[in-house]
Amino acid sequence: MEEHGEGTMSESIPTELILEIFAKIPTKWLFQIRCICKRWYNLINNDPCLPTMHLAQSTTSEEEALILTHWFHVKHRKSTLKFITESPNPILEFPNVGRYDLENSCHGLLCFAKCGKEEEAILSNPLKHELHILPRSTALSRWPQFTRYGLGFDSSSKIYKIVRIFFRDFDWTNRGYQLGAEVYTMGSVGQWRDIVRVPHYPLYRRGVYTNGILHWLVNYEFTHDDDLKSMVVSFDFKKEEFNSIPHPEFSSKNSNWFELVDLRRYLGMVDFSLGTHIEIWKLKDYEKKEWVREYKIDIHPLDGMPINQCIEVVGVIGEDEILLKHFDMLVVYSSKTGGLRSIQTLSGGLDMDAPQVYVHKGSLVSLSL
Amino acid sequence: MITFKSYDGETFDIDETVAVELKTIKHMMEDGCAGNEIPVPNVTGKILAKVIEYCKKHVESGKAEDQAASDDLKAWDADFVKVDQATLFDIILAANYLDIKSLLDLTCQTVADMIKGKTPEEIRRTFGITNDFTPEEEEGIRRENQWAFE
Repeated sequence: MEEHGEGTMSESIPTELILEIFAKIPTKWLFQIRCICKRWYNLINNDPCLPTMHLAQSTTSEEEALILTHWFHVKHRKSTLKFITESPNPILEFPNVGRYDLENSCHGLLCFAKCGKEEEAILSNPLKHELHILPRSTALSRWPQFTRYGLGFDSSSKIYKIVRIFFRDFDWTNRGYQLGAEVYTMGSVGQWRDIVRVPHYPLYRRGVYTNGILHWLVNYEFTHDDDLKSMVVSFDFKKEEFNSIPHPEFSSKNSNWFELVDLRRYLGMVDFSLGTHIEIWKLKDYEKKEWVREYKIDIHPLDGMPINQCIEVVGVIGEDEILLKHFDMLVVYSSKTGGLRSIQTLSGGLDMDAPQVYVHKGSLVSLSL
Repeated sequence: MITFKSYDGETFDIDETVAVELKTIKHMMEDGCAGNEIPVPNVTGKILAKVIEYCKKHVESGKAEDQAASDDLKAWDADFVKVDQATLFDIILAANYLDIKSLLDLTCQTVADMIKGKTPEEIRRTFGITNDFTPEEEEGIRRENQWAFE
């Protein structure tokens, strides 16, 4: 089968078919084979159709998950992204000083928001070393440190949009706070559009994007148990509407005990409220809103520490393998064996804070849209 | 029964249910452009035989719905693509011209799997591709994405 080819792939195959083949190759390998020849380099780097073709294929295939670490240098106050490999070279360096939080990822693009009073949102495709700072909105927030950003894709107009949810003001007559929401369309001339119907509750960070919809937990600091029907708020990028997603009946309605996680195209909800173990629910049928209890992880935190303060569910990294972060240790849970194994201890040196860890599904999507 | 005639004059008699798997042919038949004998000018007899074999098998198996039948078909597909490289690429071209999506997907996936897991040098050797980068240029590209090689 593998003979010395007579230049089969170089001349006789038309570009459209080479792209069909490339679209079926996982991202990591595509970046490797860029160096094969100039034709392949140009196609993988610059072909305008390939990112979309590749994205369509990768949603059905089980592409290998990449693990990113997000470091903050305490002295220089600079953030960097790296892979958890031997290589010390960062894949991305944030241009401005300050801490950033990952808001969500969508189609291999990451959306970050600066922590603190100075609002700044950044989009990046780290694999392509691309970074784009979004224009600032003119609508000021009373508490900018609670502003949420979210990136999504409108499948009907085929454009990327960013939603911004912020505190307009304090309103004594109603709930005490007044939220605002805006949308920015990538490729547009820099205008944030107002959305009239805002979410009922402020949102907690780290949204999960699935089915064209971005999901967040309500921010527990601002919610009262009795009013709350659901802890999960959604934003539909096509309709530009906020909604509520029903979830299983939990013993607690305090979103502090929960976490949303991306279970490879499914929305996942982590329940830390049980104390003795962690349960992860999967929204198996999005239309019918049917949840199943998919994982049950026996993990014991250090004495005295609440489980949700030392353990984080990072994401799915393999066939039924979940990556967890236990302080500065990366641990993998295998649902097949029910066992846990440490894979790495994260240490960046004296001046580095413990990093954030993300499971990243790479793509070729370019920010120069 | 429809008759296909390949580029090199070989004829094949096939059932209409199989013929419509080749979307290009199906459209010709619907538009009334197809007579008794349909010429397939871009495809040789050898390749057309393979394409027809694939379509026949998939039409037959389409009726069975259980997991075992599906697994059998997958195994059959895996064997089907065990051909020399030149034939594989000819099938890709034919599947594209004749618009047989599942065959195109299968053959392109086969090539993608051949590429995955090989070093760049092995890939160039396997597919007979000349490296038109200078060593410095190639080194620069590798350094851009060091992580991909780890």
